[in-house]
Amino acid sequence: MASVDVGALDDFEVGRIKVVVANGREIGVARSATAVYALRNVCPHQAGPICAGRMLAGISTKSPVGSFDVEAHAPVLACAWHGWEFSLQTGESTVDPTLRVRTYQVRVEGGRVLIEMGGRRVG
Amino acid sequence: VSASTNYTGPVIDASVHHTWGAQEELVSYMEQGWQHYVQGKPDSPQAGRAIPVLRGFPFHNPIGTHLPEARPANGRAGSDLELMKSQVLAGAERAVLTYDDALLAPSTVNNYFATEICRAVNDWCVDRWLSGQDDRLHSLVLVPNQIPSEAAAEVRRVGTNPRMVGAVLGGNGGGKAFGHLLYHPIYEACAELNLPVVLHVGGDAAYDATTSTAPAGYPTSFTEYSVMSPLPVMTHLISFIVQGVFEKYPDLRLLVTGAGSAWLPSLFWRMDSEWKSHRRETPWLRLSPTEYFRRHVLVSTWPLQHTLSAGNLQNSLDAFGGAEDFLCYASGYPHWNADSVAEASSFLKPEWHRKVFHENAQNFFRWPAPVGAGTVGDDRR
Repeated sequence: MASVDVGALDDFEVGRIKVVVANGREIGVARSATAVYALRNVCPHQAGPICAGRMLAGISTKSPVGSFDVEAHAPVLACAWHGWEFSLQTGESTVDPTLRVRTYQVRVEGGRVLIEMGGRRVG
Repeated sequence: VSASTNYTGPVIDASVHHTWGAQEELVSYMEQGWQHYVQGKPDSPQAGRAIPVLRGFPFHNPIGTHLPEARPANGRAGSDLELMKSQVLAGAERAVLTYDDALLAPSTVNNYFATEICRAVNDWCVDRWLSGQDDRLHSLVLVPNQIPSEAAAEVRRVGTNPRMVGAVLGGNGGGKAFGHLLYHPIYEACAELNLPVVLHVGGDAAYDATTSTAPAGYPTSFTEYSVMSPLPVMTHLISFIVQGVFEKYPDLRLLVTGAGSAWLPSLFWRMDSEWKSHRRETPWLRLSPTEYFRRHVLVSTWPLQHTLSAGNLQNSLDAFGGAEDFLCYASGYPHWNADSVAEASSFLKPEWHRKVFHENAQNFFRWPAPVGAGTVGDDRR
């Protein structure tokens, strides 16, 4: 498994997704207050540029009717094309368990963001 | 495509329309003051010139609203129990009486009178139809939905009668789709009494309804009305789901009758698709619209879509899937487009018959085991 250095941590703004190219692939790097996530810039729904979408707190499954609670510890990425949301942690769709965005492990070492790119799995 | 066969097993008819023979019969169940209001003072010029309790229906079927053979010698179609027994109840184990033009009452423009008509209709129904006349008969609380607090009170007043097995919404008196928060007191009362809600076609076509039966312009003919009559039903069904009624009242069941069923696949494909994209507008919907539908909603076969072949209808329903679990038979008698068991069964797969003609309604209304298979009681709870 090869680590790819995609930039300094400070290059990535908290709450935003930045697309980088690593090993010839477009990878979205999403930084939250407590973690950094990496996922392929291809939506499994209709192959749209998912990382042009927004990073959001996940919708709580416990919201009573008329309320809107979120789960800040479970951030999602909402695709720019159709708004389908995927867990930043697992890549799983929140509306269709058969769909998953390809995700990559991320390490932060010495102020650098490193993505593990060795797997052949395609999301 | 399965070959057509006629079903001969036990039948529950989820929608038979009953009514009074003449207006005086209903008016006798009103408070005295309202009786005078309707009848006019005996010594006044209005004496004998009663105000019509209901304004009728805006669209007139050129071949008749009811089956010609269903009209008794005296009175209106659906008013004669003996005729009903011979024409539609002969093979029925149970039937749900779902009113005729009384369904229009809740939208009557005078809200106090609307409430009084509904109360009278319910008392008339219990007294004339559900008090030992025929133990197979059940009916629905007609709710004055224009004033939801009154409607909820009426559900609690009449819905405790064990032969009242649901609450029917009828004419739309509130000007909102029926999933709107405005109407939730009605559903709270239904949930409390374990009564299903029944949505019957036509309620948005009442003269006094403040909604429209067609969203893009009022129909000018019965043909237009009839073709488009499922549209308001779709609106209400979407509203029930999207407004979170089934999240708020997780045991509430909804029966949709009078709108057929062939429109369901395209509606739910679209709804599921929209839900996936727009969850942040309705974050309380934990399930897809289709899942709510399958858990909470039953749809009557009446009026059957008379497709060119039975296979066309079966294929259409199969494209959505699970028709044997969400359909239930309703004759719609004595309406002009009523479907007999033989006719309906010839359009449906034989392997669906047992559930559609019997089991689904039995489970939905939570009735005990059928006659001959155990004790038949009249307590649904």
